[in-house]
Amino acid sequence: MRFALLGNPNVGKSLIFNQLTGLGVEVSNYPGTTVELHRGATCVDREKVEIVDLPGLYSIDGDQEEEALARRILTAGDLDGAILVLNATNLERNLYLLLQVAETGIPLVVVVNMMDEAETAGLTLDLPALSGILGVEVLGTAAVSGRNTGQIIPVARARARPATVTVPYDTDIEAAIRTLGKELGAPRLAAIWALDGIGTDPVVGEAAGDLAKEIEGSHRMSVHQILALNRYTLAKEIAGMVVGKASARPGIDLDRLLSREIPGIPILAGLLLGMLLVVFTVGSFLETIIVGLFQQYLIDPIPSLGLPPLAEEIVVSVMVGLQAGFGIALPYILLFFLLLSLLEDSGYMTRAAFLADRAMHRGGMHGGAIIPLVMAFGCNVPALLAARNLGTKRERTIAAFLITLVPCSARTVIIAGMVAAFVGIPAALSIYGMVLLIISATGILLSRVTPGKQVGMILEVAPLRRPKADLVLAKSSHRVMDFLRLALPLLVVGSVVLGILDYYGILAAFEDFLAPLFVGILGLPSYAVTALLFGILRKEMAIGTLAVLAGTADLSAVMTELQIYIFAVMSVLFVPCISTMAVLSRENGWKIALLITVFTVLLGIGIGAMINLAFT
Amino acid sequence: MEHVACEDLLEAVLVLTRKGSPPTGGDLAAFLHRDEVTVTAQLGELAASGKLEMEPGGTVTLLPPGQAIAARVADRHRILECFLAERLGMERQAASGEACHLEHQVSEETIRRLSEFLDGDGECSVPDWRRARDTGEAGPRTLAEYPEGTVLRVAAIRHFSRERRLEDIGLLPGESLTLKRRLSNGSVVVEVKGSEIALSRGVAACILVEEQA
Ligand SMILES: Nc1nc2c(ncn2[C@@H]2O[C@H](COP(=O)(O)OP(=O)(O)OP(=O)(O)O)[C@@H](O)[C@H]2O)c(=O)[nH]1
Ligand SMILES: [Mg+2]
Repeated sequence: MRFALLGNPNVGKSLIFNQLTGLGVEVSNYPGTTVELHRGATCVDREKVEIVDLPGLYSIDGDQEEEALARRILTAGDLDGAILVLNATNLERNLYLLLQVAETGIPLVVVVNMMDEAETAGLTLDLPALSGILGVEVLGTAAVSGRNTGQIIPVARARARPATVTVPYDTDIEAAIRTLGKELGAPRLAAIWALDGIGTDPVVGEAAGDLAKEIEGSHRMSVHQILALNRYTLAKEIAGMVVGKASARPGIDLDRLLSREIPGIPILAGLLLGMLLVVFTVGSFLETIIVGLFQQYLIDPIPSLGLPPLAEEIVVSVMVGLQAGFGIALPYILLFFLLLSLLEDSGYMTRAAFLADRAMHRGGMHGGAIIPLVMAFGCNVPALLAARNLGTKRERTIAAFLITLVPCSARTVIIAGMVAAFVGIPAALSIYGMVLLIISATGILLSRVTPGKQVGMILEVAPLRRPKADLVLAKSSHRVMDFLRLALPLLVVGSVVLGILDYYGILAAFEDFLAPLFVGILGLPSYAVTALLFGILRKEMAIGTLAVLAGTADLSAVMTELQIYIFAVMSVLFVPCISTMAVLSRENGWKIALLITVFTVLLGIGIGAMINLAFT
Repeated sequence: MEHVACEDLLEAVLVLTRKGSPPTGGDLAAFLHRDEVTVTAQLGELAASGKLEMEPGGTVTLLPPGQAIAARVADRHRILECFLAERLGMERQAASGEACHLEHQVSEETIRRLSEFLDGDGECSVPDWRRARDTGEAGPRTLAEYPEGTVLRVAAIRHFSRERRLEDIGLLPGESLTLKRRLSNGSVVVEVKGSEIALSRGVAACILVEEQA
């Protein structure tokens, strides 16, 4: 059997999905976390039940991509039912979507989630009454504590059925539906969709277009507006019958601080800066400990083993690679993801989007773009996916450029592990300042030259919540495991390959070839070029490779401060990593991917050379 | 016949046809506040030059050449009216009246630039069926003119490229909303149907509101 999870954005669909399937898809407190279909399965009574998690929707009759996708899925006929997740604290708006989905005639189970929050807010919900009105089973859940979520699949399997509720539309609309039915044999749903301009049958569509024009002329409203009004009238009526009056909500209103220019913007800047500082200081503290332990117990004893030279070279390379992975990368990445998860789960991101909206318009996007841009600090790949939420191709293109410029956690490793550790924290922060300038300038430039229309932001503000420790830990450990799974093997294999190339003198030949550029213009040691190239595989490999080539993780022994700084700036700017490029060309086309690559190479070399010139 | 009168007449045929069924000479005269005899004579002239056709029942339909002229004028009218009302803050009906004069003189370049200007940022334009000439509403105001905390009623949503999203989250004519936050740069947060929605300045400018009685 197969069921789809459907509902407004940010109602907890993905959290429920994770609990039902045991998978770990992204759960965050802002609308638009899920951007792709996720499939998972669970076994109930020896039967496999497949569950599909969809991006959140406000409606299924809009013109957005995810809305069209939902329509296709709902009408394709390969679902045994839909699990409609509603937010208990906001029933009316959620019922609007439900009424549309009910129209498709698909078997339904209704899950009223966030019951815990409704209770805190003093709302009482008469779920049996709701069930009676809709004609389907209704379950009250609180997915954060797992309350009642275990019931969902058994109930869906046994008792999902089409809802009996129908929206009474305006008499002119009903007449048009009848006309289309009588003259062209269009079923009710097809007629409604055709009038709404989203039908699939061209013949019905044409007839409906004429009827719609007539209706719009006499009502002075678009058909979609009339339909929406009718649906909302019913939704309001149902909510009125189900929801008991709320007692006034006590507590302090943090938004008095967060969503005003003052002190909201200083708080925003302080938060981001604070995050970086925590990562730098705590991270370097952990780094020193781990790197020291590796050195003392695993690397220093190697020569005393008396291995043959090639084997010794390889063993040392592997150990130094691991040292770089565990010692340098892990502490920073772990910290970064922890802080980012906290920020995402608190609901703060939508406030940041609101505050940044005007500034983002200068860069050709709107406030919503702040969410992928902040995510990009963690990793560019999910950020590029999240950029799908931006309405237009123009915004997605601009966002793609800017996202790839944002120093992800792997690049933060380089900045923190090299610059903050060996040159100083102000120098490390100056790289962020520089990147910020470059991003702003690029945004302003791109907004001038990118074709297409500018659109505005319509973003639901997520409720502020205290992040749940277990969810934050689960999410960050998930991301860290991803890192270990993907990056460690690469680091180890890369180190071995390096060790061998180095042993046979191939590296030296290659480096000599590029030496004029790197040594002459950039003032870097010749092996740095190899490190930069390995950095394309994964950014933190640049530092690992450098350590292997220099023969030590203590880079201050082999490079000057200026060299360290230039190397870091270059690897931060230079070409996004392979996974980013792959996602870029999938999401935005290979042309954009190529353009971004060329742009970043030129940018990296240009800025690196400028710094070198300025300081020598 | 002078070209202003000709363009006006063709435009009127288009507007009335879109509103319902093809108009008669009488309908057109009433719409344009002109004398029916003159209008009938002008219609004859236009029919002779192949711009429209007089049907046996007394109704008028546009032929392709006339349709093209009418559509162009209607488009200019729409853009000018949008600019005057929504950018310069003129009262709707006055803006529409003014647009009636300007639409005949304005150059292609001006119209093109105006249109780009409106599209680029304000995202508004007025669909034909909502033209103020027919509704004569005394323009309600935008969100930007009220202080935080005011409870307002949505009077109308101007045409906006992602209008459906606004409607789907409940921003519909007649709905009441609370203005929760208004930044000096024009971004707003409104509470509607129990949730808070952040809107860009351009989007907020498309929502016309009036104070809740
Ligand atoms: N208090 C409370 N919070 C919940 C509950 N269910 C989910 N959440 C939180 O709500 C937020 C949104 O959850 P998600 O599962 O990402 O929501 P979604 O519906 O998948 O959202 P989109 O993917 O954006 O459509 C997360 O921060 C969850 O921790 C609940 O029952 N009670
Ligand atoms: Mg989700």
